[in-house]
Amino acid sequence: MNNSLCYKIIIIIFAFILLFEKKQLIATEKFIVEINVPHNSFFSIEKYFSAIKKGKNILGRFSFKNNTQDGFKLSIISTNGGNLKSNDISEDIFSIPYILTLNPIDKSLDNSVVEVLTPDLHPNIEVPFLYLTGSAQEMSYGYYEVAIYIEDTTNALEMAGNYQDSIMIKYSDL
Amino acid sequence: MNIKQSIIILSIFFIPIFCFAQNMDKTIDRFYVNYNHPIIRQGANLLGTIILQNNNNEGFTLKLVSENGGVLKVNNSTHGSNDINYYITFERGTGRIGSGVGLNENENWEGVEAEMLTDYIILQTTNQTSSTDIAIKVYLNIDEDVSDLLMAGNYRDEIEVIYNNNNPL
Repeated sequence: MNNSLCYKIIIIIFAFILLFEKKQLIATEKFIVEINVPHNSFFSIEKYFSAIKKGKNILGRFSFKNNTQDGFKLSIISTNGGNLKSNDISEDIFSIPYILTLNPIDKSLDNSVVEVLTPDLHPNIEVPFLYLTGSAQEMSYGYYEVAIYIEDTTNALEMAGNYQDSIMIKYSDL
Repeated sequence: MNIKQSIIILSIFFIPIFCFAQNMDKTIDRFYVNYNHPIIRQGANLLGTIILQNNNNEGFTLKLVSENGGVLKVNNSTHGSNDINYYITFERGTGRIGSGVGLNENENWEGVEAEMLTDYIILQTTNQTSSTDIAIKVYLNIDEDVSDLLMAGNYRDEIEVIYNNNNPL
């Protein structure tokens, strides 16, 4: 068999392959589905400056908003641990205890959020009162009133002296 | 009845048949999508309409493939969040499906909830005896609330519509 015959046979085989080869045309389109939710983390405080009296005293209001799964923490720190104390050392015989309460005005909290409306205050110890115990599933927001109640059974408020405490509310976006 | 009258009567029956009969000669091969670009919300979101025209007697396949297996996957490395599950439903638009074309397993688009965990075949045939010319509306459905309370993140999926024409011209 000469070379030209070999070439002819090969060409014929290729022609048959091309003729009977199953071709496929594939075309694609694409739906792109997207929801973009921006990070929302917000905290603010309104402070009231009314004179402290026996009974209920509204100190202010705070609001927050958070939509991250790893969440947030709101805590409170009282310098004197829930007591109004005199700065005057010589007169430091009385301290006036109070109870701090948080009153929700408007709120929507994730199921994983723990809410403590009457936190136990200890001197200079950070006490969390709104925090996550797991992964958040939806955004949380809240608007709370901060108040203290002074029972003052001994009428200490009528005694001379400068009684004070410092309360800090701390918001952490984790 | 004379011959002339007979021819006229027969013509009335046969002319429409000739008009509507189509050659299955692979000359019609058209596929595209009219996109709707909806703002994704809870419930049914119309993604678009698939238009398919085909007269290939060796058939074709039309399927959907989800990149993330039926979820809008969140891309959020710093805060993390949960994916959003969805499913696809279909609504038959105008047109017709050729004879010999297999529908999805329920033989009906209405009520089918394609969860997109794997490739989802909408239409498939290897032996089509009459042409297909169909519009199919594609809906993305989300059961959970997609509201302002949704967690931060970029939720995304890409759903490919793949049309495979067997042995075209």
